[in-house]
Amino acid sequence: MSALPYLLLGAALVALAIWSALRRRSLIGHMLALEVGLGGVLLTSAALWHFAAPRPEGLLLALLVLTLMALQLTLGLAILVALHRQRREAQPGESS
Amino acid sequence: MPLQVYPYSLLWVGALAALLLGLWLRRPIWPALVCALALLGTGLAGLRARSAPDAVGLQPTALLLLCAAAILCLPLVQGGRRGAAARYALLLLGSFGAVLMAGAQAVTDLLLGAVIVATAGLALLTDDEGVARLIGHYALAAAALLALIYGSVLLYGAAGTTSLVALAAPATAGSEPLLRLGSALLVLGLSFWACLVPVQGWSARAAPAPAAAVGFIAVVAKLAALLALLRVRPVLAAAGVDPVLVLGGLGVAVTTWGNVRALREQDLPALLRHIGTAHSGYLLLGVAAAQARDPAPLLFAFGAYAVAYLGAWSALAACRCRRHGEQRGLLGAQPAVAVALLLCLLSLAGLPPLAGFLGLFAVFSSAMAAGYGLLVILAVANLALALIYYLRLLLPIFLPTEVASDASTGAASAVRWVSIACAACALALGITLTLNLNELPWLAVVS
Repeated sequence: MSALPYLLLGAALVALAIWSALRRRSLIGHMLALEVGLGGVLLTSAALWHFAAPRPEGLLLALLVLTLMALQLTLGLAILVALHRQRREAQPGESS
Repeated sequence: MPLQVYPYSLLWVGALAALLLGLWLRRPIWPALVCALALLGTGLAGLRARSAPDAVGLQPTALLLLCAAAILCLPLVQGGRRGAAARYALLLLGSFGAVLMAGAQAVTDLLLGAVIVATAGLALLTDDEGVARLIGHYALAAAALLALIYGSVLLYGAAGTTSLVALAAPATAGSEPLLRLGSALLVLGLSFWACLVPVQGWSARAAPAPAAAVGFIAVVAKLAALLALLRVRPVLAAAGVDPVLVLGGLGVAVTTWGNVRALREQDLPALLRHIGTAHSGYLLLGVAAAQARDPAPLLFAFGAYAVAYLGAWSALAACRCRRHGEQRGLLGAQPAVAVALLLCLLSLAGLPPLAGFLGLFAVFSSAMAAGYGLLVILAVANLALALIYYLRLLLPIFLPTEVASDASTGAASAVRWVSIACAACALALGITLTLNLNELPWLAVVS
């Protein structure tokens, strides 16, 4: 078994995410694209660690990717909440 | 060992202290003071580490430069009392990320620094008017971060290490493609922080971004990213790519793009954004051609840009001019701001005897010494092209008054003082160095 299938799948996910992040207009779309892309990076990272360089640094890198995934998602959610609040304040009659 | 940790710790401890002080004390001056002291302490600690090169993971002068730029951004922070304290803390945390990114020894440092800088920049951009502008900035930051992380992972796969020094060693057979792709993605990711791509968030025309955010993103984060590119450059060379040609070519292309956009621009904040993009290109050319053993000319060019750009932005914010023509008669209405704007823009235009001229000269002479005369000719042609929009911006200042005389609030007054201080720096640096040309080997050619 070689690393190639994993690397190709990872690359496809990252390419899809970057294309989607630059093309979509909605925040949720951006967040979904980012999660897909970071999933691809995580897959690549794990494959390279397993097949090419099984060292602790590789695990550290994978952990860092996981942390960044959580951080970016939190940031996106924070913007979403701020947007929601702003719109609710602008249109108080429409809020439920 | 303590010196290696101390400067970094001082920054985030200072941010925490500023945040707590903001909760307990009513006046925002105290958090600002804490932040200024933390930045000053960090810069001085970096200078103390001069005997141990790169002890803080950064050239001491570069550390001082980043801290000074951040200190200049502090008076640009505006907002309510509690909000102001949080913004001071964010500026300090962002500076921590910038220092980490600029002094990166490994790709993991680069990632951590980049994510902290992006988060701080995004949070500084948030204000009551402009939550919507964050979406574009978030999308671009996310795409850039993705490229940076993916590039780092590929570099690890190619060389089995995350250390930038080890990655710069000659590549083993068969690992070149991964190394090339990884380093290209690293450059692509960093180009967002270096403002080589349009950063939509802080340049939205509907609601101008907060001055502190612009100062941080367009100066502190940009210089940190360019310093990080200086560290990535050997990795490009190890992958068998000519870094001067690739980075220098990219720099000249970005400069041309920024100048062409600036020629047609009627919105003054957007025009200044294009000027910033054009200068990112010049500085990238400097990064491409810098001598690894002596980065002094490049750091001087960075300093000259930082002072002039912060001054020009502050002057524009102080006179509240938004559209072309609104600056008409500024000299009569607000003479100090008008002179500051004039000096800063002339420095950005690269006219002697201002600091910008010597900075750009240092960049061009490095590129010429590296044997890339064509890139220098293209960059100088861009400077000549840029004079058109600089003159279009500056000439109305001398016409009869149209701008109302200023009755400044405290915040506007602080912004005005930043512009005056920056203009004075650009002038003093330029004149002092022009008078001592022979003592600086990298400027001796001018004389």
